[in-house]
Amino acid sequence: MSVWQNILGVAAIGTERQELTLSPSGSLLGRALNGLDVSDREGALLGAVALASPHRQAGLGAATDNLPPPEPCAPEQLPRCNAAAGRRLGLMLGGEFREVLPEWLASLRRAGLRVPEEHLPALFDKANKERALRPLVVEVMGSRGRWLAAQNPAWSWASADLGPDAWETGGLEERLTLLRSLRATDAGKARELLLSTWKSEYAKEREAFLEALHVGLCDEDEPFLNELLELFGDRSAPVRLTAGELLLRLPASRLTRHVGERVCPLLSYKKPPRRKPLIEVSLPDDLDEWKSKNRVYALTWTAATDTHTLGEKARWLLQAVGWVPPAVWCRLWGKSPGEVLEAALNGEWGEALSRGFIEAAGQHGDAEWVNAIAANEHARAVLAGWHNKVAARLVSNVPPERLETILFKDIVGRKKEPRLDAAAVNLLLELRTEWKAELSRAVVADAKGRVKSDMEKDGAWHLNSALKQFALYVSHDLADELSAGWPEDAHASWRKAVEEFQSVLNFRRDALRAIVKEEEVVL
Amino acid sequence: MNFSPEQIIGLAPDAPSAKAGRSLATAHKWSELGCDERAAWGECQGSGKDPYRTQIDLTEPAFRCTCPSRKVPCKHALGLFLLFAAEGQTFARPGRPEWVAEWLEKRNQQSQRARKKEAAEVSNDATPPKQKRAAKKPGRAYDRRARVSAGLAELELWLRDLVRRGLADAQSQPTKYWEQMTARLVDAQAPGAARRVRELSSATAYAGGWAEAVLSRIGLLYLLVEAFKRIDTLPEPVQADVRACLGWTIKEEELPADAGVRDCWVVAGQFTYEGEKLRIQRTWLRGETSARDALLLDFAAPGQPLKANLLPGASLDAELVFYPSNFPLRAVVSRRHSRPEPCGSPRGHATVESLLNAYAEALARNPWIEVFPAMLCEVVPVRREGGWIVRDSGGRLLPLSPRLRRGWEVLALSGGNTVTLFGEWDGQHLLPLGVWVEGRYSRI
Repeated sequence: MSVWQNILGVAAIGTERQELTLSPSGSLLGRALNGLDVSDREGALLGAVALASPHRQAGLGAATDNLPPPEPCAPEQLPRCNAAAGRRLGLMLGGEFREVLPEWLASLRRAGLRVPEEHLPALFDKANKERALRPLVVEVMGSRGRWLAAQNPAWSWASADLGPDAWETGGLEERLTLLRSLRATDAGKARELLLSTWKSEYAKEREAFLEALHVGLCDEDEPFLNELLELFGDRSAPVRLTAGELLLRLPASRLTRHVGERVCPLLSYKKPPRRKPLIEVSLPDDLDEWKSKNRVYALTWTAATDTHTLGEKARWLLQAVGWVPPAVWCRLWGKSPGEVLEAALNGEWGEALSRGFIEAAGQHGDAEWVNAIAANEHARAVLAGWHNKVAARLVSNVPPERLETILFKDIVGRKKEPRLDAAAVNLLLELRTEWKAELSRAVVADAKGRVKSDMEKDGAWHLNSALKQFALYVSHDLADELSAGWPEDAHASWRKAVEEFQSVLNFRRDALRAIVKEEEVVL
Repeated sequence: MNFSPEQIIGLAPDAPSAKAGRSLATAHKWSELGCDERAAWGECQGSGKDPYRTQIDLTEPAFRCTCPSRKVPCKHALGLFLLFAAEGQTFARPGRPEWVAEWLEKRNQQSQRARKKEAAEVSNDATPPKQKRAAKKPGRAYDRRARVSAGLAELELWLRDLVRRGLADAQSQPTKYWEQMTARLVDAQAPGAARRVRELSSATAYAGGWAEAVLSRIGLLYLLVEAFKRIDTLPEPVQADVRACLGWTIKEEELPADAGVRDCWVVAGQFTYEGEKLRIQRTWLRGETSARDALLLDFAAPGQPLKANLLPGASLDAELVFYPSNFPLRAVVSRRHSRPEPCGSPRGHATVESLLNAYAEALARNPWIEVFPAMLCEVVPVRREGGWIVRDSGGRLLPLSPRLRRGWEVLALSGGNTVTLFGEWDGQHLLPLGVWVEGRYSRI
């Protein structure tokens, strides 16, 4: 027993129960301890502690690591972004201007750079919460990021080895990541990979994998999806539902065709004499009977659920029309999208129909129809008054370039004030990419006009709250021009919104410019 | 030098100031922005009628603002500083306005006065200021000595009682048991001993090895009691350590002004914590030539700013005066010869063993050293069993402190390669405060 253990033992139970006895020792400590007066029990113990404690503290040796040192990180392929860009990243990860982060990461990726390694932990934690950031993070994290993530199970998505082996061995998260990224580059190969293990997957996983097929959805997916919908198709109802949703997104799929065949007879385009053209709807008297007669595989005819202002039948109609590719109607009646929409709004079922067309245009990413919807006042009103998600759905499949052109023409071409009405604002915010110079200028010019006249009319409040978001999308190269010239004497609520617009835009410009500035690029 | 936003944010007296400062760091909130090689300034429209005039002396840095906030630096100063750090090249160089020139002139005079006073003390009077002071008020030191003696005598009785009844008994004592002794020592003007008793009580709550932790603290306390009894027989530097340990510190102006150590001092790390009544900041310096460590202590009342003129990672050519000690660590900057400059990684211990040997030597000279500066220049941070260690090339390891919040950042910075790491070693754990990787410093 060491001297220290001996002393500790006595101290623990107290000297009134046990006396400290020290065996003589020739060591320096031993000799010093021998000098203590043992007749004074407490004094001797305290003296021994006073001598032994620093002695022990000073003598503590370092433990030896029995495990081999970890493999160092592989050499970096990408250069680190410069310090100025890194500082901006640090601010965003600290919570400042964090809305700019996705665009900033995408810009970093385009520049072929990686984030400074000290920011990786915070970036991973952020992407843990915001899944949408993950594909971006993975591409700007460098070898260091992969190396680091491999050591923290919470970041496994970043360390996933996305080789084909991961499909056999990985967890659900890794497999989904693999499937999505493969889908984006080679949809067919991804489908084959999925099919290779499809029969042995659990229902929950089958559903998740099917959801991932929204990426890169193509006609070649149809046979596989059709099988799931057959009479003896997939056992799981959610899987069948997802397969149905996917098929309805394919304009040429059998399901879409069959649905169209059943819905088309319900609508007819009429031009009564001396009146505007309209669309007549002949709904079956007994909806349930119609539904059971018109079964299409496992598809359930349902009513739209995200609206409460419409009656049951109208909601059903909305959903049915929403499933039909809108181009079908143009072909059927030989009319343009604008004419069909106009006629729909003239009829009795105007609102349900127009919403159905909006739904369908979004489902199929039909830019012609988006254009027509943007140009129609009533459709705009429907869009503005409806759920936010509808605008998102409407444009989610339209190529951004196309959408931008549509919106630019819409905003500049409008005679009617206000140009930036609620619908326009909703659609603008769905663009989700940086706007070109002309659109940026047009939007900001209009917003400035609105601030100046301080119109508290419909949509002004909408614009106020959207201003900060505009700062995320207007052309950052024009930051100075777009920040300048705002009315000075605006109402306080506007001033605050304008200030936020300016500060976000300025930060964004600085952060994005810092990426491309040539300074201290260190490998 | 160039200050990074992290460094600048590090100067903020509290989190709200940091946030407010960040939001003011955009050019359109400012007018009349300007700078020269010494200072930066600008006017910021606040809630008042006139804009606030904010200025920064970049050499220190030091701040001044006409806003009513008592915080230094205030949010305006922080905002201006951040803006200057990011976009300094866009600041105009119109020549100093009068209000800036005035302030800088005042600062010059102040530092000149301080220097003159120093010089006068050294040259005109052979008596060291400490003795002069003691000579002026002979009663005061004597009184304190008597009080401390009485307090320590009680502490001794208390310690004897404690070990007589045993540690297990002490562990079950109520808070009052510890608090009474603590309060007694505060009354006896031995706040350092009081703090050690307080820590004794918190050590009884340690999850593992509490008995050892308590016992080693008892040993150091008893050593202090014994040392004070015979303080007159001890060499002068040891006397100084005993007094410092009791919390009987000498004032900065009582330090010998002529004993400065000039070197290029690297600011290796900074650690701020909340003490009983004060915020305390430890700033560690390391001499590039002398390879000496130095500790600067700053204190601030809650809500008040700490000194913010030394930024970790920078280095400065300066003279330090060390407090008398058998192992001098604590020091003050007596004269600066250059503005802080960023510098490369300093030299340090190549192995864990070398560090521990230095630690043992230091303890042999002053057993009451609580935190020891640890500059390790070839270690790899590793994650092991949910905790962190650093490992040297021979496989020797030191456990990193469980208080380390940014372990993943240290790991990310290293990438599994050796780094130079500076931290505070307390005999059990190493708390990293800074890391150099390829000459780049990151504050931890």
